[in-house]
Amino acid sequence: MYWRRTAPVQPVGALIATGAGAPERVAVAVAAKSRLFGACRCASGPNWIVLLAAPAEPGSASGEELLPSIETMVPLYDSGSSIWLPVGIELDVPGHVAGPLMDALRRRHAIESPAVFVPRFEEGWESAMKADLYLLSDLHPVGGHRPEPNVGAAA
Amino acid sequence: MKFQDVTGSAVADAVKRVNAHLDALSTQFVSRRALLELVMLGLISREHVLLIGPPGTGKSAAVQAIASSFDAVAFEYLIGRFTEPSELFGALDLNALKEGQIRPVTTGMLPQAEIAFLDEIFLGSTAILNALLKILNERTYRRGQYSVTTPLLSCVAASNAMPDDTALAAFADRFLLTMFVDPVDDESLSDLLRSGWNLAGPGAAPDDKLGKELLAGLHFAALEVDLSEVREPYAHIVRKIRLVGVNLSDRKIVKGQKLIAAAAVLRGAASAGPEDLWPVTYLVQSKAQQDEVRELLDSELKHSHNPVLSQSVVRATYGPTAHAAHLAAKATALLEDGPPLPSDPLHEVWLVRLETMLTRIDAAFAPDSLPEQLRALRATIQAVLEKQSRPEPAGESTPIRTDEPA
Repeated sequence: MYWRRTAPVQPVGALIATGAGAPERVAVAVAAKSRLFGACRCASGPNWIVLLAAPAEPGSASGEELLPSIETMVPLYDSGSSIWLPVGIELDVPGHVAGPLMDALRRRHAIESPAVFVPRFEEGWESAMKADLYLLSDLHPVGGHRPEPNVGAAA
Repeated sequence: MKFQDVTGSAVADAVKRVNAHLDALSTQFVSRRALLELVMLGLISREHVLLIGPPGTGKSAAVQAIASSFDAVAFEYLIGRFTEPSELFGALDLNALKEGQIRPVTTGMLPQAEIAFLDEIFLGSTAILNALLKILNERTYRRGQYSVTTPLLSCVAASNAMPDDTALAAFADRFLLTMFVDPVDDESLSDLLRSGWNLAGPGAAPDDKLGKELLAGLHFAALEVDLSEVREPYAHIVRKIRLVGVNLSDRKIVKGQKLIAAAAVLRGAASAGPEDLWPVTYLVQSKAQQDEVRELLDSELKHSHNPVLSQSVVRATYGPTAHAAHLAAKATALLEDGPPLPSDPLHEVWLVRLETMLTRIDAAFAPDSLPEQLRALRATIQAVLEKQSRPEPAGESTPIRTDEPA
Protein backbone atom coordinates (compact mmCIF):
# COMPACT_ATOMS: atom_id res chain seq x y z
CA MET A 1 0.00 0.00 0.00
CA TYR A 2 1.33 3.43 -0.97
CA TRP A 3 0.75 6.82 0.60
CA ARG A 4 1.28 10.23 -0.94
CA ARG A 5 1.46 13.84 0.09
CA THR A 6 -1.43 16.12 -0.89
CA ALA A 7 -2.62 19.65 -0.13
CA PRO A 8 -3.17 19.94 3.67
CA VAL A 9 -6.79 21.07 3.37
CA GLN A 10 -8.50 18.31 5.34
CA PRO A 11 -10.44 19.30 8.50
CA VAL A 12 -8.38 18.57 11.60
CA GLY A 13 -10.20 16.24 13.99
CA ALA A 14 -7.41 14.79 16.12
CA LEU A 15 -3.75 15.15 17.11
CA ILE A 16 -1.01 12.61 17.66
CA ALA A 17 2.29 12.86 19.52
CA THR A 18 4.91 10.12 19.41
CA GLY A 19 8.26 9.49 21.05
CA ALA A 20 9.51 8.81 24.56
CA GLY A 21 7.38 10.53 27.20
CA ALA A 22 4.81 11.77 24.67
CA PRO A 23 1.72 10.90 26.81
CA GLU A 24 3.10 12.67 29.86
CA ARG A 25 4.13 15.75 27.86
CA VAL A 26 0.69 16.02 26.29
CA ALA A 27 -1.07 15.46 29.61
CA VAL A 28 0.94 18.31 31.15
CA ALA A 29 0.25 20.58 28.15
CA VAL A 30 -3.50 19.90 28.22
CA ALA A 31 -3.65 20.38 31.99
CA ALA A 32 -2.21 23.88 31.56
CA LYS A 33 -5.05 24.83 29.22
CA SER A 34 -8.75 25.54 29.66
CA ARG A 35 -10.69 22.81 31.44
CA LEU A 36 -13.01 22.72 28.42
CA PHE A 37 -10.31 20.80 26.54
CA GLY A 38 -10.68 18.10 29.19
CA ALA A 39 -13.67 16.82 27.20
CA CYS A 40 -11.36 15.70 24.38
CA ARG A 41 -10.97 11.90 24.37
CA CYS A 42 -7.60 10.26 24.09
CA ALA A 43 -5.93 6.89 23.64
CA SER A 44 -2.29 6.20 24.36
CA GLY A 45 0.59 3.76 24.52
CA PRO A 46 3.99 4.11 26.26
CA ASN A 47 5.38 6.28 23.44
CA TRP A 48 2.35 7.79 21.78
CA ILE A 49 -0.91 9.56 22.48
CA VAL A 50 -3.82 10.50 20.24
CA LEU A 51 -6.23 13.30 21.19
CA LEU A 52 -9.65 13.44 19.51
CA ALA A 53 -11.57 16.73 19.17
CA ALA A 54 -14.52 17.29 21.51
CA PRO A 55 -17.82 18.77 20.37
CA ALA A 56 -17.99 22.48 21.22
CA GLU A 57 -21.62 22.16 22.27
CA PRO A 58 -22.49 18.58 23.23
CA GLY A 59 -25.80 17.58 21.73
CA SER A 60 -25.80 20.46 19.25
CA ALA A 61 -25.96 19.85 15.51
CA SER A 62 -23.46 22.65 14.81
CA GLY A 63 -20.64 20.13 14.33
CA GLU A 64 -18.07 22.57 15.72
CA GLU A 65 -15.24 20.85 17.58
CA LEU A 66 -12.54 21.90 20.02
CA LEU A 67 -8.87 20.92 19.90
CA PRO A 68 -5.98 22.46 21.81
CA SER A 69 -2.98 23.95 20.06
CA ILE A 70 0.04 21.85 21.08
CA GLU A 71 3.09 22.58 19.01
CA THR A 72 4.67 19.13 18.99
CA MET A 73 1.52 17.24 17.96
CA VAL A 74 0.74 16.20 14.38
CA PRO A 75 -2.77 17.06 13.13
CA LEU A 76 -4.94 14.18 11.88
CA TYR A 77 -8.11 13.93 9.82
CA ASP A 78 -10.74 11.21 9.51
CA SER A 79 -10.25 9.70 6.06
CA GLY A 80 -13.43 7.65 6.47
CA SER A 81 -14.20 4.30 8.13
CA SER A 82 -12.66 5.71 11.36
CA ILE A 83 -9.19 5.61 9.85
CA TRP A 84 -7.20 8.69 10.78
CA LEU A 85 -4.34 10.05 8.68
CA PRO A 86 -1.98 13.00 9.12
CA VAL A 87 -3.32 16.15 7.44
CA GLY A 88 -1.74 16.45 3.98
CA ILE A 89 -1.33 12.68 3.42
CA GLU A 90 -3.65 10.28 1.62
CA LEU A 91 -3.73 6.78 0.18
CA ASP A 92 -2.01 6.79 -3.20
CA VAL A 93 -4.98 5.37 -5.10
CA PRO A 94 -7.87 6.96 -7.06
CA GLY A 95 -10.41 8.56 -4.72
CA HIS A 96 -13.22 6.10 -5.41
CA VAL A 97 -10.94 3.15 -4.48
CA ALA A 98 -9.68 4.53 -1.15
CA GLY A 99 -12.83 3.70 0.88
CA PRO A 100 -13.18 0.04 -0.21
CA LEU A 101 -9.42 -0.42 0.19
CA MET A 102 -9.51 0.86 3.77
CA ASP A 103 -12.45 -1.43 4.54
CA ALA A 104 -10.52 -4.38 3.09
CA LEU A 105 -7.48 -3.42 5.17
CA ARG A 106 -9.61 -3.40 8.32
CA ARG A 107 -11.03 -6.84 7.58
CA ARG A 108 -7.64 -8.27 6.59
CA HIS A 109 -6.01 -7.22 9.88
CA ALA A 110 -9.16 -7.55 12.04
CA ILE A 111 -8.96 -3.89 13.04
CA GLU A 112 -12.15 -3.16 14.92
CA SER A 113 -11.36 0.06 16.76
CA PRO A 114 -10.59 3.45 15.21
CA ALA A 115 -7.00 3.50 13.97
CA VAL A 116 -4.31 5.99 12.98
CA PHE A 117 -1.86 5.37 10.14
CA VAL A 118 1.26 7.52 10.13
CA PRO A 119 3.19 6.84 6.89
CA ARG A 120 6.97 6.94 7.04
CA PHE A 121 8.23 9.28 4.33
CA GLU A 122 11.88 9.13 3.36
CA GLU A 123 13.54 12.56 3.28
CA GLY A 124 12.42 14.41 0.14
CA TRP A 125 10.07 11.65 -1.04
CA GLU A 126 6.49 12.38 -2.06
CA SER A 127 5.40 8.78 -1.67
CA ALA A 128 5.73 6.21 1.15
CA MET A 129 5.31 2.44 1.37
CA LYS A 130 5.43 1.91 5.14
CA ALA A 131 3.22 3.30 7.89
CA ASP A 132 2.98 3.04 11.66
CA LEU A 133 -0.39 1.87 12.94
CA TYR A 134 -1.89 3.03 16.22
CA LEU A 135 -5.11 1.43 17.49
CA LEU A 136 -7.44 3.68 19.47
CA SER A 137 -8.98 0.87 21.50
CA ASP A 138 -9.50 2.58 24.84
CA LEU A 139 -10.70 6.12 24.33
CA HIS A 140 -11.33 8.13 27.49
CA PRO A 141 -11.53 11.84 28.39
CA VAL A 142 -8.11 13.45 28.48
CA GLY A 143 -9.22 15.26 31.65
CA GLY A 144 -8.82 11.98 33.48
CA HIS A 145 -5.86 10.79 31.45
CA ARG A 146 -3.62 8.12 32.84
CA PRO A 147 -0.68 6.76 30.79
CA GLU A 148 -1.46 3.23 29.69
CA PRO A 149 0.50 0.13 28.79
CA ASN A 150 1.15 -0.26 25.08
CA VAL A 151 -2.14 -0.85 23.23
CA GLY A 152 -0.90 0.25 19.83
CA ALA A 153 1.48 -1.52 17.50
CA ALA A 154 4.05 -0.01 15.21
CA ALA A 155 4.06 -1.84 11.87
CA MET B 1 -3.59 54.94 -22.53
CA LYS B 2 -1.42 52.44 -24.41
CA PHE B 3 -1.56 48.75 -23.69
CA GLN B 4 0.96 47.20 -26.07
CA ASP B 5 3.06 45.67 -23.33
CA VAL B 6 1.16 43.25 -21.09
CA THR B 7 3.44 43.96 -18.16
CA GLY B 8 3.49 47.70 -18.81
CA SER B 9 2.40 50.28 -16.29
CA ALA B 10 -0.83 51.06 -18.18
CA VAL B 11 -1.99 47.49 -17.74
CA ALA B 12 -0.85 47.49 -14.11
CA ASP B 13 -2.84 50.68 -13.50
CA ALA B 14 -5.89 49.25 -15.23
CA VAL B 15 -5.69 46.06 -13.16
CA LYS B 16 -5.39 48.15 -10.01
CA ARG B 17 -8.48 50.14 -10.98
CA VAL B 18 -10.45 46.99 -11.75
CA ASN B 19 -9.50 45.58 -8.35
CA ALA B 20 -10.53 48.77 -6.53
CA HIS B 21 -13.75 48.78 -8.51
CA LEU B 22 -14.53 45.20 -7.49
CA ASP B 23 -13.70 46.05 -3.87
CA ALA B 24 -16.15 48.95 -3.91
CA LEU B 25 -18.90 46.95 -5.57
CA SER B 26 -18.50 43.92 -3.34
CA THR B 27 -19.10 46.00 -0.22
CA GLN B 28 -22.66 46.43 -1.49
CA PHE B 29 -23.28 42.76 -2.15
CA VAL B 30 -22.54 40.30 0.64
CA SER B 31 -20.88 37.08 -0.56
CA ARG B 32 -21.20 38.14 -4.20
CA ARG B 33 -17.59 39.10 -4.89
CA ALA B 34 -17.07 35.96 -6.97
CA LEU B 35 -20.11 36.77 -9.11
CA LEU B 36 -18.86 40.31 -9.72
CA GLU B 37 -15.39 38.99 -10.57
CA LEU B 38 -16.77 36.51 -13.06
CA VAL B 39 -18.83 39.19 -14.81
CA MET B 40 -15.64 41.27 -14.97
CA LEU B 41 -13.74 38.33 -16.45
CA GLY B 42 -16.51 37.99 -19.05
CA LEU B 43 -16.26 41.67 -19.95
CA ILE B 44 -12.49 41.56 -20.35
CA SER B 45 -12.46 38.34 -22.35
CA ARG B 46 -15.62 39.42 -24.27
CA GLU B 47 -17.42 36.25 -23.40
CA HIS B 48 -20.87 35.62 -21.98
CA VAL B 49 -21.79 34.66 -18.44
CA LEU B 50 -24.67 32.50 -17.23
CA LEU B 51 -25.87 32.80 -13.63
CA ILE B 52 -28.02 30.00 -12.26
CA GLY B 53 -29.71 30.33 -8.90
CA PRO B 54 -32.97 30.77 -7.03
CA PRO B 55 -34.84 34.09 -7.13
CA GLY B 56 -33.86 36.71 -4.59
CA THR B 57 -30.17 35.89 -4.43
CA GLY B 58 -29.07 39.27 -5.73
CA LYS B 59 -28.03 38.16 -9.21
CA SER B 60 -29.91 40.94 -10.98
CA ALA B 61 -28.91 43.67 -8.53
CA ALA B 62 -25.23 42.72 -8.67
CA VAL B 63 -25.17 42.63 -12.47
CA GLN B 64 -27.08 45.91 -12.71
CA ALA B 65 -24.58 47.50 -10.33
CA ILE B 66 -21.56 46.33 -12.31
CA ALA B 67 -23.17 47.30 -15.64
CA SER B 68 -24.01 50.80 -14.45
CA SER B 69 -20.51 51.23 -13.04
CA PHE B 70 -19.08 51.23 -16.57
CA ASP B 71 -19.17 54.05 -19.02
CA ALA B 72 -20.87 51.76 -21.50
CA VAL B 73 -24.30 51.31 -23.11
CA ALA B 74 -26.22 48.77 -21.06
CA PHE B 75 -29.46 46.95 -21.79
CA GLU B 76 -31.42 44.79 -19.39
CA TYR B 77 -34.67 42.92 -19.73
CA LEU B 78 -36.72 40.39 -17.80
CA ILE B 79 -37.87 37.89 -20.40
CA GLY B 80 -41.23 36.17 -20.05
CA ARG B 81 -43.06 33.54 -22.02
CA PHE B 82 -44.95 36.21 -23.96
CA THR B 83 -42.06 38.60 -24.59
CA GLU B 84 -42.08 39.79 -28.21
CA PRO B 85 -38.77 40.01 -30.13
CA SER B 86 -39.44 43.72 -30.66
CA GLU B 87 -39.19 44.28 -26.88
CA LEU B 88 -35.53 43.31 -27.08
CA PHE B 89 -34.46 44.14 -30.61
CA GLY B 90 -36.67 47.13 -31.44
CA ALA B 91 -39.95 47.61 -33.30
CA LEU B 92 -40.08 47.98 -37.06
CA ASP B 93 -39.49 51.45 -38.48
CA LEU B 94 -42.90 52.30 -39.99
CA ASN B 95 -41.51 54.92 -42.37
CA ALA B 96 -39.03 52.39 -43.74
CA LEU B 97 -41.82 49.83 -43.95
CA LYS B 98 -43.85 52.21 -46.13
CA GLU B 99 -40.93 52.18 -48.53
CA GLY B 100 -40.94 48.38 -48.50
CA GLN B 101 -37.94 48.00 -46.22
CA ILE B 102 -37.74 45.94 -43.04
CA ARG B 103 -35.66 47.92 -40.59
CA PRO B 104 -36.07 47.89 -36.81
CA VAL B 105 -35.50 50.93 -34.63
CA THR B 106 -32.66 49.63 -32.49
CA THR B 107 -31.94 52.82 -30.54
CA GLY B 108 -31.67 51.95 -26.85
CA MET B 109 -32.30 48.27 -27.59
CA LEU B 110 -30.18 45.12 -27.33
CA PRO B 111 -28.51 45.43 -30.78
CA GLN B 112 -26.87 48.66 -29.60
CA ALA B 113 -25.89 47.47 -26.14
CA GLU B 114 -22.32 46.93 -25.02
CA ILE B 115 -23.31 45.16 -21.83
CA ALA B 116 -26.55 43.17 -21.73
CA PHE B 117 -28.34 41.52 -18.84
CA LEU B 118 -31.17 39.15 -19.70
CA ASP B 119 -33.07 37.69 -16.78
CA GLU B 120 -35.01 34.41 -17.18
CA ILE B 121 -33.22 33.84 -20.46
CA PHE B 122 -34.62 30.37 -21.12
CA LEU B 123 -38.20 31.66 -21.17
CA GLY B 124 -37.49 33.42 -24.49
CA SER B 125 -39.35 32.29 -27.61
CA THR B 126 -37.60 30.49 -30.46
CA ALA B 127 -37.57 33.74 -32.45
CA ILE B 128 -35.84 35.58 -29.58
CA LEU B 129 -33.31 32.84 -28.90
CA ASN B 130 -32.42 32.48 -32.60
CA ALA B 131 -31.80 36.22 -32.94
CA LEU B 132 -29.83 36.15 -29.68
CA LEU B 133 -27.71 33.24 -30.86
CA LYS B 134 -26.44 35.28 -33.77
CA ILE B 135 -25.72 38.27 -31.55
CA LEU B 136 -23.87 36.13 -28.99
CA ASN B 137 -21.86 34.16 -31.56
CA GLU B 138 -21.24 36.60 -34.35
CA ARG B 139 -22.06 39.98 -32.84
CA THR B 140 -24.56 40.47 -35.64
CA TYR B 141 -28.27 41.25 -35.47
CA ARG B 142 -30.25 40.22 -38.53
CA ARG B 143 -33.89 40.68 -39.35
CA GLY B 144 -34.81 39.73 -42.89
CA GLN B 145 -32.37 41.53 -45.15
CA TYR B 146 -31.49 43.99 -42.40
CA SER B 147 -28.21 43.22 -40.73
CA VAL B 148 -26.11 45.22 -38.28
CA THR B 149 -22.93 44.60 -36.36
CA THR B 150 -23.53 44.87 -32.62
CA PRO B 151 -21.00 46.37 -30.17
CA LEU B 152 -21.78 43.76 -27.49
CA LEU B 153 -18.89 43.10 -25.13
CA SER B 154 -20.62 40.58 -22.89
CA CYS B 155 -24.09 39.29 -22.22
CA VAL B 156 -24.91 38.16 -18.71
CA ALA B 157 -27.96 35.93 -18.50
CA ALA B 158 -29.74 34.54 -15.48
CA SER B 159 -32.12 31.71 -14.83
CA ASN B 160 -33.46 29.75 -11.87
CA ALA B 161 -32.25 26.45 -13.31
CA MET B 162 -30.41 24.91 -16.22
CA PRO B 163 -32.83 23.78 -18.92
CA ASP B 164 -33.51 20.08 -19.49
CA ASP B 165 -34.48 20.65 -23.11
CA THR B 166 -31.57 19.71 -25.40
CA ALA B 167 -32.17 22.63 -27.77
CA LEU B 168 -32.02 25.08 -24.87
CA ALA B 169 -28.96 23.30 -23.48
CA ALA B 170 -27.23 23.88 -26.82
CA PHE B 171 -28.15 27.57 -26.51
CA ALA B 172 -26.81 27.62 -22.93
CA ASP B 173 -23.52 26.25 -24.24
CA ARG B 174 -22.91 29.66 -25.91
CA PHE B 175 -22.31 31.07 -22.44
CA LEU B 176 -18.69 30.32 -21.72
CA LEU B 177 -18.82 30.97 -17.98
CA THR B 178 -21.44 29.44 -15.71
CA MET B 179 -21.82 30.25 -12.04
CA PHE B 180 -24.29 28.66 -9.62
CA VAL B 181 -25.47 31.29 -7.15
CA ASP B 182 -26.63 30.09 -3.74
CA PRO B 183 -28.31 32.13 -0.99
CA VAL B 184 -25.75 33.63 1.41
CA ASP B 185 -24.68 31.30 4.19
CA ASP B 186 -25.96 31.62 7.76
CA GLU B 187 -22.73 33.22 9.00
CA SER B 188 -23.11 36.13 6.55
CA LEU B 189 -26.77 36.83 7.31
CA SER B 190 -26.12 39.80 9.58
CA ASP B 191 -23.81 41.31 6.94
CA LEU B 192 -26.55 40.73 4.37
CA LEU B 193 -29.12 42.54 6.51
CA ARG B 194 -26.76 45.46 7.12
CA SER B 195 -25.79 45.72 3.48
CA GLY B 196 -29.39 45.40 2.29
CA TRP B 197 -30.43 48.20 4.64
CA ASN B 198 -27.61 50.44 3.46
CA LEU B 199 -28.55 49.83 -0.17
CA ALA B 200 -31.97 51.29 0.53
CA GLY B 201 -30.28 54.55 1.49
CA PRO B 202 -27.78 56.60 -0.48
CA GLY B 203 -25.67 54.24 -2.60
CA ALA B 204 -22.06 53.34 -1.90
CA ALA B 205 -21.24 52.79 -5.57
CA PRO B 206 -17.67 53.25 -6.86
CA ASP B 207 -16.68 56.90 -7.13
CA ASP B 208 -15.93 56.94 -10.84
CA LYS B 209 -17.07 54.84 -13.77
CA LEU B 210 -14.66 52.60 -15.59
CA GLY B 211 -14.26 53.49 -19.23
CA LYS B 212 -14.74 51.14 -22.16
CA GLU B 213 -11.18 51.85 -23.28
CA LEU B 214 -9.90 50.33 -20.05
CA LEU B 215 -11.78 47.10 -20.75
CA ALA B 216 -10.61 47.17 -24.37
CA GLY B 217 -7.03 47.68 -23.25
CA LEU B 218 -7.17 44.69 -20.92
CA HIS B 219 -8.87 42.63 -23.63
CA PHE B 220 -6.11 43.33 -26.14
CA ALA B 221 -3.45 42.77 -23.50
CA ALA B 222 -5.00 39.33 -22.92
CA LEU B 223 -4.76 38.55 -26.61
CA GLU B 224 -0.99 39.16 -26.34
CA VAL B 225 -0.52 36.71 -23.45
CA ASP B 226 1.81 33.78 -24.16
CA LEU B 227 -0.14 30.56 -23.62
CA SER B 228 2.56 28.11 -24.72
CA GLU B 229 3.39 26.98 -21.17
CA VAL B 230 -0.20 26.06 -20.30
CA ARG B 231 -1.44 24.45 -23.53
CA GLU B 232 -0.38 20.92 -22.63
CA PRO B 233 -1.50 21.16 -18.96
CA TYR B 234 -4.81 22.59 -20.22
CA ALA B 235 -5.22 19.72 -22.68
CA HIS B 236 -4.44 17.27 -19.86
CA ILE B 237 -7.12 18.86 -17.69
CA VAL B 238 -9.69 18.70 -20.49
CA ARG B 239 -8.87 15.02 -21.12
CA LYS B 240 -9.25 14.32 -17.40
CA ILE B 241 -12.60 16.13 -17.25
CA ARG B 242 -13.93 14.28 -20.29
CA LEU B 243 -12.81 11.00 -18.81
CA VAL B 244 -15.31 11.34 -15.96
CA GLY B 245 -18.12 11.99 -18.42
CA VAL B 246 -18.35 15.78 -18.28
CA ASN B 247 -19.22 17.16 -21.68
CA LEU B 248 -17.13 20.14 -22.83
CA SER B 249 -17.68 21.22 -26.43
CA ASP B 250 -14.69 21.89 -28.67
CA ARG B 251 -15.88 25.49 -28.96
CA LYS B 252 -15.77 25.92 -25.21
CA ILE B 253 -12.36 24.37 -24.86
CA VAL B 254 -10.89 26.67 -27.49
CA LYS B 255 -12.56 29.77 -26.05
CA GLY B 256 -11.50 28.76 -22.55
CA GLN B 257 -8.02 29.94 -23.50
CA LYS B 258 -9.35 33.51 -23.58
CA LEU B 259 -10.32 33.19 -19.92
CA ILE B 260 -6.91 31.79 -19.01
CA ALA B 261 -5.22 34.67 -20.82
CA ALA B 262 -7.45 37.27 -19.14
CA ALA B 263 -6.74 35.68 -15.74
CA ALA B 264 -3.00 35.97 -16.45
CA VAL B 265 -3.36 39.66 -17.33
CA LEU B 266 -5.23 40.34 -14.11
CA ARG B 267 -2.42 38.53 -12.28
CA GLY B 268 -0.01 40.95 -13.92
CA ALA B 269 1.73 38.27 -16.01
CA ALA B 270 2.70 38.28 -19.67
CA SER B 271 2.66 34.48 -19.84
CA ALA B 272 -0.08 32.24 -18.55
CA GLY B 273 1.05 29.71 -15.95
CA PRO B 274 -0.46 26.96 -13.80
CA GLU B 275 -1.90 29.74 -11.62
CA ASP B 276 -4.30 30.69 -14.42
CA LEU B 277 -5.97 27.40 -15.31
CA TRP B 278 -8.79 27.65 -12.73
CA PRO B 279 -11.43 29.21 -15.08
CA VAL B 280 -11.84 25.74 -16.57
CA THR B 281 -14.17 24.89 -13.65
CA TYR B 282 -16.63 27.53 -14.87
CA LEU B 283 -16.83 25.94 -18.33
CA VAL B 284 -18.84 23.11 -16.78
CA GLN B 285 -22.62 23.69 -16.82
CA SER B 286 -23.82 21.43 -14.02
CA LYS B 287 -23.50 22.23 -10.33
CA ALA B 288 -22.77 18.62 -9.35
CA GLN B 289 -20.18 18.31 -12.11
CA GLN B 290 -18.52 21.59 -11.14
CA ASP B 291 -18.13 20.16 -7.62
CA GLU B 292 -16.77 16.93 -9.09
CA VAL B 293 -14.33 18.77 -11.34
CA ARG B 294 -13.05 20.87 -8.42
CA GLU B 295 -12.10 17.72 -6.55
CA LEU B 296 -10.88 15.91 -9.63
CA LEU B 297 -8.48 18.74 -10.51
CA ASP B 298 -7.22 19.16 -6.96
CA SER B 299 -3.58 18.66 -7.88
CA GLU B 300 -3.75 20.42 -11.29
CA LEU B 301 -5.34 23.57 -9.84
CA LYS B 302 -3.47 23.69 -6.54
CA HIS B 303 -1.26 26.52 -7.80
CA SER B 304 -4.27 28.69 -8.69
CA HIS B 305 -3.86 32.27 -7.66
CA ASN B 306 -5.22 35.65 -8.69
CA PRO B 307 -5.06 38.77 -6.56
CA VAL B 308 -7.98 40.42 -8.37
CA LEU B 309 -10.25 37.44 -8.97
CA SER B 310 -9.54 35.89 -5.57
CA GLN B 311 -13.06 34.67 -4.77
CA SER B 312 -13.58 33.18 -8.24
CA VAL B 313 -10.39 31.19 -7.66
CA VAL B 314 -11.65 30.04 -4.28
CA ARG B 315 -14.91 28.80 -5.79
CA ALA B 316 -13.15 27.17 -8.73
CA THR B 317 -10.59 25.18 -6.81
CA TYR B 318 -10.32 22.74 -3.99
CA GLY B 319 -6.91 23.55 -2.68
CA PRO B 320 -4.91 25.67 -0.27
CA THR B 321 -6.23 28.93 -1.76
CA ALA B 322 -9.81 27.95 -1.11
CA HIS B 323 -8.89 26.52 2.28
CA ALA B 324 -7.04 29.69 3.28
CA ALA B 325 -10.02 31.82 2.32
CA HIS B 326 -12.35 29.53 4.24
CA LEU B 327 -10.13 29.66 7.35
CA ALA B 328 -9.75 33.43 7.06
CA ALA B 329 -13.52 33.90 6.86
CA LYS B 330 -14.06 31.65 9.88
CA ALA B 331 -11.28 33.32 11.88
CA THR B 332 -12.61 36.79 11.09
CA ALA B 333 -16.13 35.82 12.15
CA LEU B 334 -14.80 34.23 15.32
CA LEU B 335 -12.74 37.27 16.29
CA GLU B 336 -15.77 39.51 15.76
CA ASP B 337 -17.88 37.14 17.82
CA GLY B 338 -15.95 37.69 21.07
CA PRO B 339 -17.94 38.57 24.22
CA PRO B 340 -17.22 42.18 25.22
CA LEU B 341 -16.32 41.34 28.84
CA PRO B 342 -13.93 38.68 30.16
CA SER B 343 -16.44 38.08 32.97
CA ASP B 344 -18.97 36.82 30.41
CA PRO B 345 -19.51 33.06 30.91
CA LEU B 346 -19.03 32.57 27.18
CA HIS B 347 -15.61 34.19 27.21
CA GLU B 348 -13.81 30.97 28.06
CA VAL B 349 -15.65 29.09 25.32
CA TRP B 350 -14.65 31.80 22.88
CA LEU B 351 -10.97 31.51 23.87
CA VAL B 352 -11.08 27.75 23.39
CA ARG B 353 -12.66 28.21 19.95
CA LEU B 354 -9.89 30.67 19.10
CA GLU B 355 -7.24 28.15 20.13
CA THR B 356 -8.93 25.51 18.00
CA MET B 357 -8.78 27.90 15.05
CA LEU B 358 -5.05 28.29 15.70
CA THR B 359 -4.69 24.50 15.53
CA ARG B 360 -6.53 24.42 12.19
CA ILE B 361 -4.45 27.21 10.66
CA ASP B 362 -1.18 25.61 11.77
CA ALA B 363 -2.29 22.24 10.40
CA ALA B 364 -2.79 23.72 6.94
CA PHE B 365 0.10 26.16 6.62
CA ALA B 366 3.73 26.18 7.70
CA PRO B 367 4.79 29.57 9.09
CA ASP B 368 6.66 30.43 5.88
CA SER B 369 3.73 29.61 3.60
CA LEU B 370 0.97 31.40 5.48
CA PRO B 371 -1.06 33.65 3.17
CA GLU B 372 -0.82 37.29 4.20
CA GLN B 373 -4.41 37.71 5.41
CA LEU B 374 -4.28 34.51 7.41
CA ARG B 375 -0.91 35.49 8.89
CA ALA B 376 -2.42 38.69 10.26
CA LEU B 377 -5.44 36.85 11.66
CA ARG B 378 -3.23 34.20 13.24
CA ALA B 379 -1.14 36.89 14.92
CA THR B 380 -4.30 38.53 16.29
CA ILE B 381 -5.59 35.23 17.67
CA GLN B 382 -2.24 34.46 19.26
CA ALA B 383 -2.11 37.92 20.83
CA VAL B 384 -5.59 37.47 22.33
CA LEU B 385 -4.65 34.06 23.75
CA GLU B 386 -1.34 35.29 25.15
CA LYS B 387 -3.04 38.28 26.76
CA GLN B 388 -5.48 35.94 28.49
CA SER B 389 -2.76 33.64 29.77
CA ARG B 390 -0.88 36.51 31.47
CA PRO B 391 -1.79 37.15 35.12
CA GLU B 392 -4.04 40.17 35.67
CA PRO B 393 -2.32 43.15 37.41
CA ALA B 394 -3.43 43.66 41.03
CA GLY B 395 -6.44 45.89 41.55
CA GLU B 396 -8.22 44.95 38.34
CA SER B 397 -11.25 42.76 38.01
CA THR B 398 -10.52 39.04 37.85
CA PRO B 399 -11.69 37.34 34.67
CA ILE B 400 -12.49 33.65 34.48
CA ARG B 401 -9.24 31.73 34.46
CA THR B 402 -8.61 29.81 31.27
CA ASP B 403 -5.34 28.26 32.34
CA GLU B 404 -6.82 26.29 35.21
CA PRO B 405 -5.98 22.60 35.15
CA ALA B 406 -8.88 20.19 34.72
